[in-house]
Amino acid sequence: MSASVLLFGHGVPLSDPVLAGLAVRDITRLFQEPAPGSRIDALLEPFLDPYVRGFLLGMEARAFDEAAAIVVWRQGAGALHAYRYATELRRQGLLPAGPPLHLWNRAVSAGPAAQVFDARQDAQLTQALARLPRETPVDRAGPLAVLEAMQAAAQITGGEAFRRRLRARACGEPVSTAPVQAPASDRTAGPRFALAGAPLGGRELHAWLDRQGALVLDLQGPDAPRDDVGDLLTRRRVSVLVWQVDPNDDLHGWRKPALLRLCAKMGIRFVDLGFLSPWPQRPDLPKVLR
Amino acid sequence: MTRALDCTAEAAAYQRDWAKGLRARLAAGEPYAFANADTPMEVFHALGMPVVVNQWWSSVIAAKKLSAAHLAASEAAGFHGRLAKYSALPLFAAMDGRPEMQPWGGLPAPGLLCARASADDHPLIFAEWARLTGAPLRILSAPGHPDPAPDWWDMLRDGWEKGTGGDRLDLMVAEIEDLTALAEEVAGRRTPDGALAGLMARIDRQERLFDEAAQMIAEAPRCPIRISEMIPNVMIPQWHRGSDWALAHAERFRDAVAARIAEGAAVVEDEQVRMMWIGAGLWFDTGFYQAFEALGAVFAWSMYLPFAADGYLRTDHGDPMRALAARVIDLNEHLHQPPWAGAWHVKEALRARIDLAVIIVPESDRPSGYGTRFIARALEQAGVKTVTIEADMVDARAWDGDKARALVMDGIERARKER
Repeated sequence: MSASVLLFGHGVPLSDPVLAGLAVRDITRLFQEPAPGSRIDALLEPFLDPYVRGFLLGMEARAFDEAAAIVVWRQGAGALHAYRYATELRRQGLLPAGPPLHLWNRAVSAGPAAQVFDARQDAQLTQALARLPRETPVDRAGPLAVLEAMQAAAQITGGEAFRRRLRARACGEPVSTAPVQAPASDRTAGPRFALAGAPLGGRELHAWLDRQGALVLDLQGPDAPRDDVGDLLTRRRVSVLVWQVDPNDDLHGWRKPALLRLCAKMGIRFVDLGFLSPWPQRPDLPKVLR
Repeated sequence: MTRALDCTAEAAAYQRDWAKGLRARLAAGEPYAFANADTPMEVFHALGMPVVVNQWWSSVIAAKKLSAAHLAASEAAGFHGRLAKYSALPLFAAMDGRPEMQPWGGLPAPGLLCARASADDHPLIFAEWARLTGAPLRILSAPGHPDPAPDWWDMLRDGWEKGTGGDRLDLMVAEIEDLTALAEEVAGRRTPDGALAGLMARIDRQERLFDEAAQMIAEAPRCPIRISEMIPNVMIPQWHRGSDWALAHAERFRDAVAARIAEGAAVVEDEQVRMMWIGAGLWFDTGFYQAFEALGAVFAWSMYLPFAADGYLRTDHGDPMRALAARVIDLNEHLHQPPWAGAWHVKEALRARIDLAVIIVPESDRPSGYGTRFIARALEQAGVKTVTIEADMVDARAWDGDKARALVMDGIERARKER
């Protein structure tokens, strides 16, 4: 990872003008096991956000050392704690030095003061990255829209679409829109799924759904469409919404009852898989969707 | 064994009368604010608008042993059991709706709602409140400090402009001004000229009195009063901070503590092990704090009294609104996030000659549970033994009192061996 700007935080806007033309990579959903003899693992609570854990263990494993900077997007769930823990572990000498960490804040309010604050934050980030070369910005939005349309039309499996989105973010490239060769008939025969809940890092749940129908709307994924959920469910003719959260979730579960009500109103079946690892394995899932 | 302070009963009586009056005002339809504890409620106090603090109401529900029913109802409604409870119990109670299961028969719909985005879930909890009640909602930003100094407590009393950062303060001031405008619109009146400045000045005096009381208790040869007395004597005035009663009560409390120390009073005559309770109160089992006195071990510290000074004293430098912004901008974060929380608890442990720290770790209230291992590590490095107890402040369902007592007793034995 040479001269890249690494970004941590769900929803970090890779196409923000502040980052335009930089080699950026999103490291939010990376999985990282603790190294043998980890000096920091014992300080990480068992209920720590799994992506924050992965980020910190990645720092310990020096997985990000080649980067020019690591930017933490404050608005991402758990991101402030990722920044706090990382800076403190470095201060205590428990994490190696490595690329500079930068906290990228945002106001949650609207109005002139919020705009001024955000502009100052952007200016500080621009200054922090001033020495890095910039090239012609890549178009991310266009290919993402194409991939979204492919998924809506069941022209690509949910697992493959998710893999492409994750890869595009992790590599800092536009998402691939190459056509897939797999026959569409298998996928269009079963139910049309939407997947929602906590962000996933692994694709096993997607593969499991792909075997039973067509995953036409992935609301947990990076770059999920931001349109009104009811409109999306209608337009994509979703028949089953599948819900899951990670075992220590304290955030996404707040959205479930509203989604449950919406599905009930729309006549969409709501299936709650309950607590599921962000990197689910086949034994974590039932044989078939009931 | 010490007798209870007279001012403890006085504080409880005041709170009862205040609650009765508040209930009457709300029943009469007076608009009130429902706000999280780490919001600038000085805005409402200066306006004379009633305010119900989310976490206070949560502790009232828990103390009345009603939390289990509401938490069960929330899970039946689709909210899973790992969601925060301390900050969500009042919402769950309101959604539950059964008047016979709620203090005061339940709260009427608030005039406005306010929370800080200091935890990821708070905006969602309050969005549910807004959906349920139709009340206008203000979420205040909580941008993170990019370079926090571990020893924040002295610097922020006076030098908060530099210590917190001008950009964040500018934003917080604007958001507090916006909140003020909303509160005035809802109340239908303006904040009297000079009311906020006067309030902030009285709060400053109040917190200095608590600072003196905390110092006296820390320096006393033996702990002169229980933390179960410290907490109401500081927290009830803190809910009413800056009022004439609160200021007068802080003075009464400080004087009562001084008198007790002068008498040579001690919670435990043969005091051998001094303990600190780290985290919010265990509201459904406050008797826990006294359970170890027969062993010569006393809880001599909880955060509420010392934090009244370190968390709230902010010289106004002629700009009370900005000083208020400086107070709330990292208010809760100082107690939980590294490096602030570890350094502060070590400072306090050393001042109070603590042998054993008992740390509550609420797994289902992650912003409060996070950072606890950093706190424990900092204390251990400073020579203070630690015990961690997994528990929730308001959810008694999973509370294993016997196990918790055994853990503390083991910690007491370890501390005793070290002495």
